[in-house]
Amino acid sequence: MATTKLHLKPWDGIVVALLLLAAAVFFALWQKDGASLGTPPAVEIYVDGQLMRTVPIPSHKEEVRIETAYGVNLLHIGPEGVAMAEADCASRDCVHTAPLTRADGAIACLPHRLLVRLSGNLSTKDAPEEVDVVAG
Amino acid sequence: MKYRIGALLICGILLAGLLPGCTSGQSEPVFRTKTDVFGTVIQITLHAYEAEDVLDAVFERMDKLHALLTVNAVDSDVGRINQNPGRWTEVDPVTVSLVETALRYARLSDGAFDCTIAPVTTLWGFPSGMPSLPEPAAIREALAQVDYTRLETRDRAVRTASPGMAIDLGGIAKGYACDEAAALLRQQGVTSAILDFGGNVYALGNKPDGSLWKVGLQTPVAGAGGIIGHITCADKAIVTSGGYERWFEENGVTYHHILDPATGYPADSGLLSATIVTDSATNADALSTACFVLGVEEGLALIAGLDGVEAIFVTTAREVIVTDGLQTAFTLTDETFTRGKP
Repeated sequence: MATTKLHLKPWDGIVVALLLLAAAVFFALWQKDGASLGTPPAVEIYVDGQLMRTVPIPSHKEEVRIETAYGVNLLHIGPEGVAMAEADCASRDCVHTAPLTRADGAIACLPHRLLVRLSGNLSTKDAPEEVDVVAG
Repeated sequence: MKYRIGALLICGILLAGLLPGCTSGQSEPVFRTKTDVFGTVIQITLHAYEAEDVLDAVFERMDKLHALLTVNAVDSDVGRINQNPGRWTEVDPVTVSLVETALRYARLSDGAFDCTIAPVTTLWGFPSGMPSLPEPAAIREALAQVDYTRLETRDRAVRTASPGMAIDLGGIAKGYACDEAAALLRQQGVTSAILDFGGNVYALGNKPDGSLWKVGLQTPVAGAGGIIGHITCADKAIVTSGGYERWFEENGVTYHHILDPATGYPADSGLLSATIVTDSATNADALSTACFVLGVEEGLALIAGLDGVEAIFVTTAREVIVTDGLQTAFTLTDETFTRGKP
């Protein structure tokens, strides 16, 4: 059976080093923000603690109606952010919550046992400083 | 030659594929949420920990604590205490301990934090989620029942002094639940996690890479979004009280949910928010409410008398006042606010 011997030369080492470097850069970017290289950010909608629906961020603003046994909420989602536009709950705290642009925040509608969050950060013009979580 | 290039490319692809496996502890974070306890949304994110079932035990514990401590159920410990005024009610030791903690902070804050404010909060409709402005006479009547000195505990029992009195541990129960969750996670070997109980944050351990957590502080203005700055920390509770999240509007006037036990109306102490940073979320929960009611001067005096407790106050004049222990850990990033002197 014929065999092929592989004789490595100095240039081969350089090519391997470059490949390693490229792999390391790719991995670092992937670790920093998976959304930038992989799946784009999406809206995650939880009801009763269960992930009910995942909606990709559209290129233009769209309405998403969430109808559950607890009530109805209307989300506005788009590249600029995710906002609770309407809710038939009594307190309407969710409608008062500022729009989401980052994965470190969430919009909650407690009477409807609803949580809305982002799987990654949106590339908005006024990107706020990156933090691990927001207290308040 | 083409064999060599092919071999090198395969090597490169394999190495790229192996890199993620070389970084132990860099697994995807585990996220779980719960929206049916303590009138808030719980979000727990475990980092560098793959056994998701640890969260089953945590959420089971949250259900049990909620069943004991909620004011909205007649069969909870708090519900039974409130239906049995003037008489001792046998309750779980957790409830006794939490009432005692609430009483300790009531005494420390001279009543600015007072868990006997329940008749007034109920009148305003905040616990039911259907708030409205009560008549002044009704507020005066309810306020007459607010007096923490007439609330007593003994071994496994709690007693309010008279009919009409009632307690609400909502100002401290969420913090206690957060501490319990953090303790359970630690027992199971979790060393890196973020616990978010409706904005009350506990940063457990360090980040998976060993660095400090960076916790943003929400801008304390209704609907504003964004953060005013951030704190770097590890193993700390960061709890804020402010009137910017739960409020309603009536006749063009905004009313928020943190009521002053001295007046029966929403606290108006010149603060947009009071944030407490300390080891215990329970203590931080009670202290943030007390400081929000007290205002800057009295709040700072209260904090100064406590070990290991730091605070950040944001005033209605958009000044941010930070206690000494947080001077380096806190960074103000919103230039529309200025840093004031403590």
